[in-house]
Amino acid sequence: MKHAARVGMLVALLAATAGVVQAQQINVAAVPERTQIYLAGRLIGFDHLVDVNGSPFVAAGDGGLQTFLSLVGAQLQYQPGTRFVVCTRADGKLVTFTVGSNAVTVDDASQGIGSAPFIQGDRLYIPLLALSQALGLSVRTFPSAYAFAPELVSVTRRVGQRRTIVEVQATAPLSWHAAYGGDRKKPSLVLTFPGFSNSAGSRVSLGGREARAATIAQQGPPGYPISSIAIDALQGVKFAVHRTSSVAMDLVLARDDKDLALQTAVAPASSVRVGPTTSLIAQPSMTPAPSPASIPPSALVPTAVPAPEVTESNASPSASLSPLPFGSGASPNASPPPLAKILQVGETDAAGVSRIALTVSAPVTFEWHRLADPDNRFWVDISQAELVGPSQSLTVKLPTIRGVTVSQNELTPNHVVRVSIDPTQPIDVNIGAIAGSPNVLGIDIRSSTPAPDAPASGVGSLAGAIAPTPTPIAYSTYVPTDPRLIVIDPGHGGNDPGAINEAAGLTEKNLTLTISKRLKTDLQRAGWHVALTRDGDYEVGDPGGNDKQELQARCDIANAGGARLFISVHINASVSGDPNGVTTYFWRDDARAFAGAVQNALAAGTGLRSDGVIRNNFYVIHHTMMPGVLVEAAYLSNSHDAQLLAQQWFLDRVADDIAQGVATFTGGPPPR
Amino acid sequence: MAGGQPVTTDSKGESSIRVRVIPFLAAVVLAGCNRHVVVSPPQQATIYYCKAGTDELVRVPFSADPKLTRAALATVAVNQLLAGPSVGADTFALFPRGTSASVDVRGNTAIVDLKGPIERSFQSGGSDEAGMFKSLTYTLTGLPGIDRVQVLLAGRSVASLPGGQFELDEPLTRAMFAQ
Ligand SMILES: [Zn+2]
Repeated sequence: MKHAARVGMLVALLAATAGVVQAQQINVAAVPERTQIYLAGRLIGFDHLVDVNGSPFVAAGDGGLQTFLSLVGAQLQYQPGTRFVVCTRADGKLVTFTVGSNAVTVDDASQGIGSAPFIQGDRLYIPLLALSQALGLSVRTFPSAYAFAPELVSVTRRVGQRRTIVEVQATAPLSWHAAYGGDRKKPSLVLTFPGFSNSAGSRVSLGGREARAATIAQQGPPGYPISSIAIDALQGVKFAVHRTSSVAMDLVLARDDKDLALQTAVAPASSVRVGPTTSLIAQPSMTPAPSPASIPPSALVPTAVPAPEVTESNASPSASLSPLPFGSGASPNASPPPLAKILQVGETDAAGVSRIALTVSAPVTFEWHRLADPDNRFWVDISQAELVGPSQSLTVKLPTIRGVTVSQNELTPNHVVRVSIDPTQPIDVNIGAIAGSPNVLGIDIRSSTPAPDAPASGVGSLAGAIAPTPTPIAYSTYVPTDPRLIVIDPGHGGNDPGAINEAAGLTEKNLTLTISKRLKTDLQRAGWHVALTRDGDYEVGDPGGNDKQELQARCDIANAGGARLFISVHINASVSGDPNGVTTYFWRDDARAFAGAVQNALAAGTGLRSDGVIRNNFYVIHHTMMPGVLVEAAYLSNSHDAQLLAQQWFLDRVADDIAQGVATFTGGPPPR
Repeated sequence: MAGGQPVTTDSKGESSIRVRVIPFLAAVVLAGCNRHVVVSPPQQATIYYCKAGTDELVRVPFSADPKLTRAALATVAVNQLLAGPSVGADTFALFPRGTSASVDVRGNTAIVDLKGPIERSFQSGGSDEAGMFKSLTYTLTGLPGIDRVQVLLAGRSVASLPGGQFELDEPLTRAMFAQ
């Protein structure tokens, strides 16, 4: 609300001062067809993207620009007919562009830009590179593409009496994966931020009491950076991860559980007092941020952080969880948030991993606890949640799990849904949003050797459920155990012929195998290890098994191998003879850029029409854990395409093009 | 009414096609209850066809007997989808010939039971398959009170069509087709 008022004032001010600005001489051309704009690995399509002296400009009302901005938590305000554009960043700062002006302002600071915004027809065009820079995004320039990414901008230390807090700041709403490791003697935490580049340095000293240092690094293919923060802590230290705003988080390192909690500024019920008395108790990062200057400097270093009685004595431990990032307008006196509904409970198994998937109607916060060996029970409590339907008992494939129950916990006064896991031995559990499904909370259980004294409890949140965009920034928790391995899946086989063109004497299952074998050779020559899900004309799953077993068997090969990439090869067909060309499908956002690279190479190499990169829930790219694509190369049902598919050179061409796509996306296999 | 309904495409800049549909007749016949007399105002629905070879939807407005129950209206709408519009059916009717459907509505979920040759094997490729289920999902979730679509094959829940790739074992929603 405060921001809205600021924007409104600024808009009014600019309206008053914006005189007639002489249009400069500008050479506008359509951006070359092949120029692609990626944001955090996601290909963004623009309707009004033009080229001005070699630099991309985008119209203020463009739908693609809206998507682009919403992915980084920014919002654009533009009234047609005016000569300026105001953009609110995720951190609340205002970015202002004015037509004809070679400067952009970020809050009050002004900086020069190469080319000024201009109006053509009834559209106002903004320089995309300058806009991105003002939003704090990194950019990488490729011959025919720009890849933007939000950044981790700072990683800083705050020291308390019995704990160390590491503050992380980014330029877009944060999503992360936390992996705990080590043992009681050497506990460790690695936070991974898919889609984020790093400009926060490479090392932050943590003083040596709880940990010596945090190491910050950036990996990932060009165009899809993945940043990470790794902390090796000292003996007996535990970790907690708290979101403090949409673009900031605190990592807390302490030896005592009660020092791990992050006190909220908003205490439950009636005991809320806002003012100098509480501002010393509350974590400063939790106080509303818009006017940091008003917080006394001393409050920024909470030296004494014994947990205040008011929160510790509260019956519900969830009261100390950090609030959700978009509690906009949630005043201290606001009524409690509406309950999130657990709409659906699902269970899937992959090699060595069982996943409990909870579909939620709204963002949730949760905490988890484990009991020490030999009890080993593990549970996740989801606060302010209501299970739709009766309690559920799930049987998972892992032999070390006796059972999993999901139930409304009647013992607590608050609404808590508890997921209880009953293992026969210690387990390794990861909790987070499932890639591509922001409103599904995934609990992944592994039978792998656990960290004997990994933290006994922790907290987290699933924020994406009511995110304004359909697909938020990619969230992938997968780390290939064999980063040189690519699994190729020749579609169909055995008693499933796939599509058939009788007149041409062509059957899909044979074509996919021919292409896949050539692709295998291509990739091996480039240094990859390659496995085919089948190398002859047979079903991959058990003979007589159903479709699910057949498709899952293909996924299992890739999952069990810990592959880097998965490629399912198909030939398209339609009831209509008209459709022709090539399409590459993906499901999770971690494969969007991969699909784009394969599709570009295929369309360019085969000369066939590009029918686009399309997101679709095909089984094998949903149930494989690594970035996966399903290629539909040409239509058997189209006479022109079928003529090509009958020729060996064309099938070789298809394989070579897919290999080219792999090379573009990965830059080649990792060095030996 | 029989003068035709304009068809507009979702994609930008494409010209409109004119398609003749006779919605009342289709509704009454397909619902199998021709005792009902059409009274005004009819129920409004939209059939979303998918253009073959794309994931582009084409909307065709549709009117039905106001006395139809939710499930009956859903069944009529789905059968209209299976049949395709009366013009351009070649590129808009993606479901294999001979496919039939019955629809039940429970809560906010439409349960579509598909029958026909599709039970034994699905012979088209990924674009038809995805288009079929996208158009089915959009058509049904466009009806009041329906948010999700569970597809059954001859009464059974399946992971995919036989020989198909599109995952069917969980209810479909419009969000799943968001790009
Ligand atoms: Zn196929």
